[in-house]
Amino acid sequence: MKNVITYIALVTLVLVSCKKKKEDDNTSTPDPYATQKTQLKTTYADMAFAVYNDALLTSQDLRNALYAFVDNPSLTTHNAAKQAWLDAREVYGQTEIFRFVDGPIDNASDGPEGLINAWPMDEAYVDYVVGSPNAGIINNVATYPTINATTIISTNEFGSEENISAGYHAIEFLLWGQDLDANGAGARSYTDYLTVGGTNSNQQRRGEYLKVLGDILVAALQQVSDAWNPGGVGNYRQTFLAMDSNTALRKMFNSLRVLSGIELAGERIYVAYENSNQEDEHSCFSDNTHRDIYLNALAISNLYKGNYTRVGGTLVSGYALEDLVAEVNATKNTELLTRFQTTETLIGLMYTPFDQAIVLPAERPKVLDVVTSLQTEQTVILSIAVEFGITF
Amino acid sequence: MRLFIGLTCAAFLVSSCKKEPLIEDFESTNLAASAGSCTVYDQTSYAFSYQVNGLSSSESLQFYVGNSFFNQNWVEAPSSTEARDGLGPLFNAKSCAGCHFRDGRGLPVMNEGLLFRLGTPNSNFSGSILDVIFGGQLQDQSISGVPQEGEMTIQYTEITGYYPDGSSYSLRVPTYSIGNQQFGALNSTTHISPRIAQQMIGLGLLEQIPDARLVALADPFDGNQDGISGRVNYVSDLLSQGIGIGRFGWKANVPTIYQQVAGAFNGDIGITSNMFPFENHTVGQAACNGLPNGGTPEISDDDLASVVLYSRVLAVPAQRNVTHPDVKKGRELFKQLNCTGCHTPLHVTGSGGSIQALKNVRIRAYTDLLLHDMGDELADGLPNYKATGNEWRTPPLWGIGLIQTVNGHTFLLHDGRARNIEEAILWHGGEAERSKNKFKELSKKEREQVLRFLESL
Repeated sequence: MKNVITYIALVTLVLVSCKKKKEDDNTSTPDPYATQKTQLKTTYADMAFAVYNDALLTSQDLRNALYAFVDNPSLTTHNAAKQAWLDAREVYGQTEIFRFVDGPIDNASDGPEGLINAWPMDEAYVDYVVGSPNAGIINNVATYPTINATTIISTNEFGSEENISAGYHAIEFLLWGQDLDANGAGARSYTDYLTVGGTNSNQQRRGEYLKVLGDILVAALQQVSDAWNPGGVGNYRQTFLAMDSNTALRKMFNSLRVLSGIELAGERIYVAYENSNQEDEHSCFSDNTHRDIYLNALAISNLYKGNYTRVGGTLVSGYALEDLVAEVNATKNTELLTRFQTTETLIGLMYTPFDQAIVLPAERPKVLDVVTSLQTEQTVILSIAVEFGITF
Repeated sequence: MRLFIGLTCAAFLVSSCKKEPLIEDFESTNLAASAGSCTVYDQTSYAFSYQVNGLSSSESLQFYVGNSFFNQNWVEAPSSTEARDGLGPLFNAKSCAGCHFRDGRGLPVMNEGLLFRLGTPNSNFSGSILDVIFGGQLQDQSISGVPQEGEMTIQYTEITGYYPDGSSYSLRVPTYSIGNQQFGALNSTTHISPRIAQQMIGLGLLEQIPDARLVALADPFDGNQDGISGRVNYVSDLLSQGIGIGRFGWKANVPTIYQQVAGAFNGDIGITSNMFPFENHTVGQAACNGLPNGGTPEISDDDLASVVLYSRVLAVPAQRNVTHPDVKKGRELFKQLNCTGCHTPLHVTGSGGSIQALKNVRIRAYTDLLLHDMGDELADGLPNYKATGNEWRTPPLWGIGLIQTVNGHTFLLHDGRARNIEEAILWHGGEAERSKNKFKELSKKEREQVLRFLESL
C-alpha cells in the first residue's frame, strides 16, 4: 500500500511539473525569435542539399574513375581513382553534421548511411588479407557466384552493425589494401585488377565488386540528395520546413553535440587513442583519417555559422545559429566561435598520419588535446541549447 | 529484411499517432523522467545508445571504448587486430550489437538476437545439468573449419482466443527444436529454453537497487494472499565467489553486470576472460580443441571493464505523452489491474558502487526483479538456481514503447513469441492470471488505454 501511495505521489508530481513546464513554454506568449527560427530551418535545408548534392556529384566522379580503372588497370588509372576517392571524402566529411536526428541519411526505416560510411571495415569479409589469401566475398565463388548490388547489400551489416562490405571504406580497402606500413598507406597494386597476369586471385571479381560499390554509393547519395532537393515534391525538405521550429532547433543542437562530443571526440578519436591500434582509425587504408577529423570538425562550425562552400567555390549561407545566439547570449556565442578555432588549431598540430599520432609517445598528448577540446565544445553547445530550453 | 521491418514500423507509427510521428515532436510531447538525471530525452532510433548524464570525464571516455568493443565484430585468431581476435570457435554472434542492435532488443530469429539455453532439470545448486555434447547453450555458428552445433528450428501454431466482449485475438504457440546437429544428437532429456536479447538501458541502475529492497518486496509464500508470490533467485556470484541475489537474465540467474557481460562474451561470442577462462565447447566437441586462440585471456581485464562500464551507464529514455488522457487513464488501469504487483513502478538506487551518477536515483523501471510463476504456457521447464521451470523474472518495462523505433519490431516476452504488447499481456498466466483476466474484462477502449500507457514507457 505504501508503494501505491508513493507511486501516486510521484505521478502527481510529474503531472504538476509538466504542467508548470508547459506554462513556461512559449506557447502562451509569442516566441520573440519565431521568425529567426523559421529562417534557421531554411538555411539548414539549403546547406543540407548543397553538401549532399556535392557528395553525390563527387561520388559520380569517383564511380567513373573506378570504372575507368577496372576497365583499364594501370598505375595512372589507379592513382586517378584514389584521388577521386580523396576528393569525394573532402565533401562527405562535411555532411555528417546532418546525422543523428533520424533525417534522410540515417533514419531507421530507409536511411542509407550503412551503405555509405559504415565503419570499421571488415576487410576479411570482402577480400584477402595477410594470412588469409582466400578470404572474403570476392574469393568465395561457391557462396557468392555472382557479384552484384543485391549480393553486397544483402551481406552488408548483416546481423550486426559491423559486417561492412560497402561504402567509402570498402572502396578505400579495395583501392589501397591493408595498411601494413608504419610510414605510409596501404600498398595494394593495380595488378590486383589485371585479369591477365595479375596478382592475387579473382581479379575480375574484384573489379566487378569495385564497380558495384561505386554504383551503390551513387544510388545511396542520390537518395539523400533527392530528399533535400528544393525542387522535390513531398520530400524530406518539405517535411523539415513544415516542422515545428523548436523541434528543428532541437535537431540542430542534437547533431552539434553528438558529432562533437560523442562521435568525433569519443568514438573516432579517443577509442583509437586508447587502443593505440593502427586498425582503429577511421580511414585506415588510405591514412586519410586526419582529414576525416578536420572535416567533421569543420562540419560542426559550418552548421553553426550557417555557411558551406560548395566544391565549385560557391558559398551557400543564410541566417545562422551564430546570428541567433549572438542575440540571445553574445558571450556564449563568442566562446563557441573561439572554441571552434582552438579545435581547428589543435587538429592541425596532430601528427600525420593519424595511425602514428596515436602510437608515438611524444605525439599522443596532442591527440588527447583534440579530444578534450571537442568535449569542451560539446559542453558549450549544451549550455547554449539550454538558453533555448533544450536539454538532452 | 530490416528495411521491411522498419517500413512496417513507420506505417504503424503513422496510424497510431495523430500527427507526423516520425518527427521528433519535442515541444508538443509531454515527457517525464524515467530515471532522474539518468534520463535521456532523445526519441530517435539512437534512444537506447546514450550515456547517462553526470559521468566523470574518464568514465565518459571509457564509455566509448566499451561502445567500440560492444559494437565491433570479433574476428578469428590469429589476426592483425590483436585486441579483437579470438572469435569462437563456437559462437552465436560476432559482437554484442549482433543481438543487441543499437543497444536494443533482438528478434525471435536465429542470428538476430535469440539463443537457446540447454539443460536437464536437476536438484543440484544450479538447477540443471548440462547437455553432454552441447553444454549449456546452442551456439549456432562456428568459425571456418569447425562443424556447426546445430540450427534453431522454430514453428508457430496460431490459437484463437476471445475477450469477454466477444472480440477475438490470436496468439502464436512456438515449438522449438535443433536441426542439423553436426557434433551429435541432443540428449533426450535436455530442455530448450529460448531467450531473446534484451534492451541494454538502465542496467547499472537496476544493479544499484539495494538487496534489502528486493528481499522486502519478495513474498515467497504469498503472505498477503494476492495470488502473487515473488521470489529472490540466489545464484553463484563469481566476483564475490559466493552466493548473490540474481538480477539479470530472463531467470534472474546472474547477480552482476560484470558477470553478465563476461558470461555473454564467453557463451555467445566465444571470448575467454579471467572470469571465464575456458572456451564454451565441451570435451565431446573434439574439432574445437587445439585451435589458435586470441590470447589468454582473449579479452583483457581493461577492455572487459570498459564494456561493463558501458553496459552500466546506458541512459533510460524519458516516458512520452505523459499528459495524454488515454495514457493517464491507462496508467490508472495498470495499477487497478495490479500489474504493479510485479511491475513495481518506483525504486531508489542505493549509494554504493563506484559510479557517482548512478547513486540515489529515483527510477521508474516497472520491475521487482523477482521470480514469478507465469503459468504452464510460458514455462520453459528448465530450472535455473532457485528459479523453477515455470518462473521468470519480471522484466523492466522502461523503453518498451521505443523498441519499435530502435529495432523496428515489437516482439516481446522471453522468446519473442508475443508480436506486440497486447499479446504479451494475454500470454501472462500463473501469478499474473488474475491481472490478465481483469485486463480481458476491460472495455476495448480501456484495453487500448492500458496499451497507450505501456507504449509511452
